[in-house]
Amino acid sequence: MIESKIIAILNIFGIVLAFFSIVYAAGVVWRVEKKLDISYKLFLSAVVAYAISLFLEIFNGIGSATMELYIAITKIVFIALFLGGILMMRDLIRDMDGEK
Amino acid sequence: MIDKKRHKKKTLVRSFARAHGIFTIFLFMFYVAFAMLGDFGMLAKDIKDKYAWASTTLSVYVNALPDQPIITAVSGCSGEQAIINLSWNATASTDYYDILRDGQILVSGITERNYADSVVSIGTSYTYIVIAHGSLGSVSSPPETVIVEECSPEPPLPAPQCKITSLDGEPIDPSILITTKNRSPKISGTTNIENATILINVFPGPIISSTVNAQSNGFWEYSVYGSLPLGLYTFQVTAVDPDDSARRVITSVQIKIIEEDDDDDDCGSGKRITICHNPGDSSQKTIIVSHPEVKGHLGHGDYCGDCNEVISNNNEATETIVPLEPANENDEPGKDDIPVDILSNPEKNLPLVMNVDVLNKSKIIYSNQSIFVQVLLDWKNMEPQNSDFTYEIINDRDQVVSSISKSNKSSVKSSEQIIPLPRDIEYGEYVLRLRTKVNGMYITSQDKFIYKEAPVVNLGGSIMFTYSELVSSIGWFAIICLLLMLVVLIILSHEYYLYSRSLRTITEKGLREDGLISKRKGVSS
Repeated sequence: MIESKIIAILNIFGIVLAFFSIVYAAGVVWRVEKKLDISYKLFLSAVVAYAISLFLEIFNGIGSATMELYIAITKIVFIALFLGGILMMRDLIRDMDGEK
Repeated sequence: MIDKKRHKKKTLVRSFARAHGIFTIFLFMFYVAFAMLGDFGMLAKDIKDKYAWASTTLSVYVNALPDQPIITAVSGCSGEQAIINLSWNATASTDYYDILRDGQILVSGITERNYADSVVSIGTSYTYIVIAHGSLGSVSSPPETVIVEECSPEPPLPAPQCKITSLDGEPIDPSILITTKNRSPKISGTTNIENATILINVFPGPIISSTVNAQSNGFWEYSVYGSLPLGLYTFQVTAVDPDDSARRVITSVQIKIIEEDDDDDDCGSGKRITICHNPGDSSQKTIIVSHPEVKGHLGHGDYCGDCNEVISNNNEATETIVPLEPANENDEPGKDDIPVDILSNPEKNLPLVMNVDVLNKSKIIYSNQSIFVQVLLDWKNMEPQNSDFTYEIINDRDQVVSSISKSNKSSVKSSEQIIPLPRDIEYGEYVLRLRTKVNGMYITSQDKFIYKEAPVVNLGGSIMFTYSELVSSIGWFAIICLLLMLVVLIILSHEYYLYSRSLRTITEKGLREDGLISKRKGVSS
């Protein structure tokens, strides 16, 4: 039973952290331009996708197979967008270092 | 000037602190990485040493004879190999240990405090002594004797048991004839076979063959399909291990179904009463006795009426219980020869054994879901034939709340079916019963399931909230959601404020560089 409560608390904590990530990523997106902006937009989209997957998991009380498919899709979207953000950031750093 | 000096000093201090921080982190990471590449024990020892250095503990060591070791010897197994596990207590002033077996040295110079002796013979007794050696001498342990026990790879499963414990919720003794007025008797019992398949045969006629799944704790429950005619019935219960069909046990109980207004002590007001003498036995026969003798006959299991006469039930049928037809003489196989065969080998001599299994997770069906069912058909003594199967959903009051008929092709031995649930049924426990009729025999199989309201929110770890639970505590949910949204809004506003200020700063910096405005207090350069 104690494990059940810990899992529930961790899930709620995960959603709160996802909200904070969205807000702070949006704050950076407002401030910066060009590649850094695109990079953070990708990070922001990734966090949004992750938050959606968390919500879908919470509202999938009956373990519906369709919902599980959507959860898997949003997780893939999350990791794809996150990878896009990292690659964009990598390009930016390489540009700053003067690499061609 | 002073300000400039102070600023320079502050910058130097900051730079030093930053460099120190980075250097410390780097050193720590190097230290941990070095330990990871080598041995964590080394890291632990190093930290321990540092701790010991930091503390001011002073240890004084006095050399003496070793303490006496006390040995424990236990017979054990390493796989299928018998071994003797030896262990003993830590002794002070000891450099190493020797082990003697039956007075002869077995191992010498070990520093550990345990040893596994694998060169042993099953059933043989060995005596062990441990000698602790120190710089000032040696001390022996008291001798410890142990007998080597045989190792079996797995403990054998207990002999299968199955017991019929109750009839219609009342405890019964299955060794004596049970009388009931309930024409759809419900029997339950226990078995020591986990998740056993329980095969129940009711005869002499109408012959009903049913399968139910026992719970993991061995409890099973069975309710007779339909309404049995009056008479004496044998309920034969076979518990089969689902992992090993050869592991099985058979038990039975005799149940006599009597009229609602029947009195056991009175079979009518006539002087001559017809009695079925020794029912279910080879000496079974119909006899006519005088009225005073009736009580004695009923006492040893006889019942009123002709042995071959089965009283049909015409007035007990309700909308939920189907009256079963008495066994027809023309039905094949006939009622006279089937019971004997069933008794000897019930599974082999039945025409069909079927098993229905609810596949939904944990056998829980949520509202608006259907039941996913796996049906296994095993035609035993006849060619598979196209049959009509009826799926019935029965509530805890034995009422059929839904009934669906489906035909099954003869070639299909295993099929998965989707059985829709009526929308207006109550939440609770139900039984899904599959039944068909083959050669005049009623074959049924049933499985239990729970119908529950679908949870809307699943926080994980089985903490779920249904729609009605959410609505009942909607206030709390609204407050929590509003608080969360408020926090997010405040942080978002703060971020937007910082963004606006940064925009203004950047713009002012540009304007100042162009000489259009002068420096403003509170705006960083």
